[in-house]
Amino acid sequence: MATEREESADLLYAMRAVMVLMGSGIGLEAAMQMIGRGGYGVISRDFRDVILNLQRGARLEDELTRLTQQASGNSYRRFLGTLRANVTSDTDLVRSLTQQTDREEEDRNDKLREYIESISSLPTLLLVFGILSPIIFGIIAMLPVIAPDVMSFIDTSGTIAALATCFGPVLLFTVILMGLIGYKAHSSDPGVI
Amino acid sequence: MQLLWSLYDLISQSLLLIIIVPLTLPCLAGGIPGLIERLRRRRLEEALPEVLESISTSIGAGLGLQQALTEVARSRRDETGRLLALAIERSRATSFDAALAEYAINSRSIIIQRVINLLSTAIEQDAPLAEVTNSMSVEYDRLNKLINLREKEMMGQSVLLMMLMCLLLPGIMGFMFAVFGLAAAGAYWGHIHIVMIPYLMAVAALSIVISGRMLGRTKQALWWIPFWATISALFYIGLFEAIQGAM
Repeated sequence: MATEREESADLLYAMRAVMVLMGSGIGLEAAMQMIGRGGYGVISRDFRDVILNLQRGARLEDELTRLTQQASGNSYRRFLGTLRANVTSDTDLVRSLTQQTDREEEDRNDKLREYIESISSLPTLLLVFGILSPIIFGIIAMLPVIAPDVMSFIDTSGTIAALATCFGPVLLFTVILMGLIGYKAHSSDPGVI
Repeated sequence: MQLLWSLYDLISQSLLLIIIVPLTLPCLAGGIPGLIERLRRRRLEEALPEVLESISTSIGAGLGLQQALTEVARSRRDETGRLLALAIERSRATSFDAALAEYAINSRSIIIQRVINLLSTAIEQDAPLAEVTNSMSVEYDRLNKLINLREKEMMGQSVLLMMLMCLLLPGIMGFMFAVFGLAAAGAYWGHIHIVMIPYLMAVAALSIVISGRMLGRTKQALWWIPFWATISALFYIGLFEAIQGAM
């Protein structure tokens, strides 16, 4: 089953394609067949399955219900619900899709704005971690040089080179931490492109 | 020659740097074509709403799709015009549908491939092409604006991240270790390079991946890792050695 991110990545494009085709008088099945040809990620895969099942004798209404039940994201579920409503009640699909795409686009814009805001602090945050960690642990490693009296209770004959080897795991940990902070750039991506 | 020997000396301070430096040039050769290709693809996508609008106007004036496309190809001097002219030229030997498909493939843009797919369906279904192309022109104009908004907003953050992590961080570290660990004062800190160089290179690599992800092109960004990692490490050691030598 596809994730919400996979579904929403190409949803806006697919909705607009169906809208353009149906607005020009093309039927829903032909529009779904066009989407099923590929280029719209998981939506293409789902629609291809629906067309295949229709050729085997399934009803479009049942197929759309099945897809609605399987969908992970609200927007995709709403889109499928609108298509199903058109099949069962002959609703004005183009008008419904226009409203839905406008709402989806607005939603996408809001998500993009949120993403930009959340990401804006990332470079500074990473720089702070990147600088502070070597400084803090560097000072600890430099203690035998800076303040030999403080370190008098420890045998520092191993010199700074030995201390530098302890410095490595700490920096590795810093890189991992920075990676986890940077993961935000991936996890909160609204997937506009 | 002396400069080359100095550079060789700097590089030989870390095994990782010795491995990464030779990878820089081949990886740049992989990264630059990707960059040029993306710019070319974006130019084609940016021209799409205008092309569709011209097609719609020509069809509205009574021309067929092939004539409308010929008109667009003739009037445009850019990559879109060139590709369309090539497709029309080929359509004389094959079919118009095949030529359109070839144009879509040659553009290497998923957006253009979707538009051609839509057009083919509209032709198959005898839909009013003027209306279809006009609607598509409006829709793709809006989608282009959304893509451009992301690109514009994220580019600044992405460049800032790269500058901070690949130049400022090694600069600060090199300066700090050189000034506080002066060899002349008997506190030489050269040993720390064994740890600091891989650290700075890893941080540079990480920031390149993150900035690539921010722009939505992680795979393309991977090619730039050796280049920025090398720049970061060389800047760090170069600054360290320069300060040590000067003071």
